[in-house]
Amino acid sequence: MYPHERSLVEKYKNEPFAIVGINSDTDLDKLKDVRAKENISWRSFWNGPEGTSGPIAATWNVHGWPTLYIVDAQGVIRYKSEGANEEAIDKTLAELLAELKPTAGAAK
Amino acid sequence: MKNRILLLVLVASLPIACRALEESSQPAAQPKAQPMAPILSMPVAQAPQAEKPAPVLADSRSERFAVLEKEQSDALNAYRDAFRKALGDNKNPTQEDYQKIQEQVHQPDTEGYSARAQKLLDEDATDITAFHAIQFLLDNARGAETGPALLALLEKHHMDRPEMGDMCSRLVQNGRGLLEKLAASSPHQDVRGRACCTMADSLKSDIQTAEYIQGKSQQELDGMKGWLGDEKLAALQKLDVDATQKEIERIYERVVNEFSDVKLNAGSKRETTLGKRAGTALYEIRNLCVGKTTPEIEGVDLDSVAFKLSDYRGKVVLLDFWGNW
Repeated sequence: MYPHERSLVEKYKNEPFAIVGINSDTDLDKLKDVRAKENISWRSFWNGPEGTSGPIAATWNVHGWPTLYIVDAQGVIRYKSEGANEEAIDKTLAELLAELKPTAGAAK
Repeated sequence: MKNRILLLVLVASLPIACRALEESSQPAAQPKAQPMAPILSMPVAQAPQAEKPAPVLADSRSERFAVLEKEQSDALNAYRDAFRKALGDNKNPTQEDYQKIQEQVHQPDTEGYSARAQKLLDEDATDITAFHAIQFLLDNARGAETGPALLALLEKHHMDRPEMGDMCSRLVQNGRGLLEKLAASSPHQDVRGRACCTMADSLKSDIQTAEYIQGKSQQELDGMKGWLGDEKLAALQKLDVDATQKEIERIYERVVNEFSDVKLNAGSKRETTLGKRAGTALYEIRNLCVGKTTPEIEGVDLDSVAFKLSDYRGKVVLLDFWGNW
């Protein structure tokens, strides 16, 4: 997952795109080491000391990791999956970012 | 990564994994277990049974079953320990690593244990030991071939048992007909409620699998026939996702109305109620589907700095529920 996410950050560095994580680890110190080592530049909410059963994952009814959502610029859920299907993620992101480009609208 | 999602779908379809879900309000052990394919193929959910006090040995049948269960559970624990030890601090094992370990560490003799359970069942299919033997065989079955015969015995002799609640999660894959019967006419309220919840789980797993197989090549689909079966695969290819989603919603509504107070994992740290489970599931259906606006998330980042999901409005966001395991 990390290499794919790093590639997305690089690919879309000049576009209105962000990765937001919801992390369910319990050992924050260890996690910060991982963040440095894996060059995780994107921000994550911390799901709290209860780990996988912490409040955000519980509210979102997450029972498998990773679970991924793609949210468009208006905050509408456009994709969700349990497990990382890179092809589907790439395709959805490309479509949603294209929607934001005025030239794409004008060309239609 | 493709292997990873296949594994997830496999997990979602395994009765064992589903039982783990039902018996814990949150599957803390699951994410850790997911990358360990060889262990997942083992009957991982035996541990809770081993913690139960030994059954009263009313007759030699129950005694034989208790011995069998303990031997199998001990062998499984020994296998897991040996597997972890062989894995060492290898954080990202490859298929080759797994294969090497499999050569050194031998899996417990599942077939031998299953044969003993089958013998108990052949001798008498009607008593409580027979019920436990069926449970054991469903947990340990490698293929789908024994399933229908076991389900037929359950239907013939055991449907009215109060213990059927524990059986529900084993019926996710092939026993939807039995779940429907239990939900409609078990004499026990908790069994009816748990059957409902499991039916919803089972339909949800259908949707996930149906979405997963969309656009797969014929070759990939053929590979899935082994664990899905021809009939199921064909049904999933034609699945009406919207109708199934509505069916799930109706089931959860029934759970909230009729079975809200039924407890799961009573007395344990993970005690919850069917009402809570169904409520969360309904919240997801109503607020977290494609097309809905995300609920707000307010929290702190890994450095304890507060922020909100809505800070990102105007951007396309990949929201990743993750953990470093």
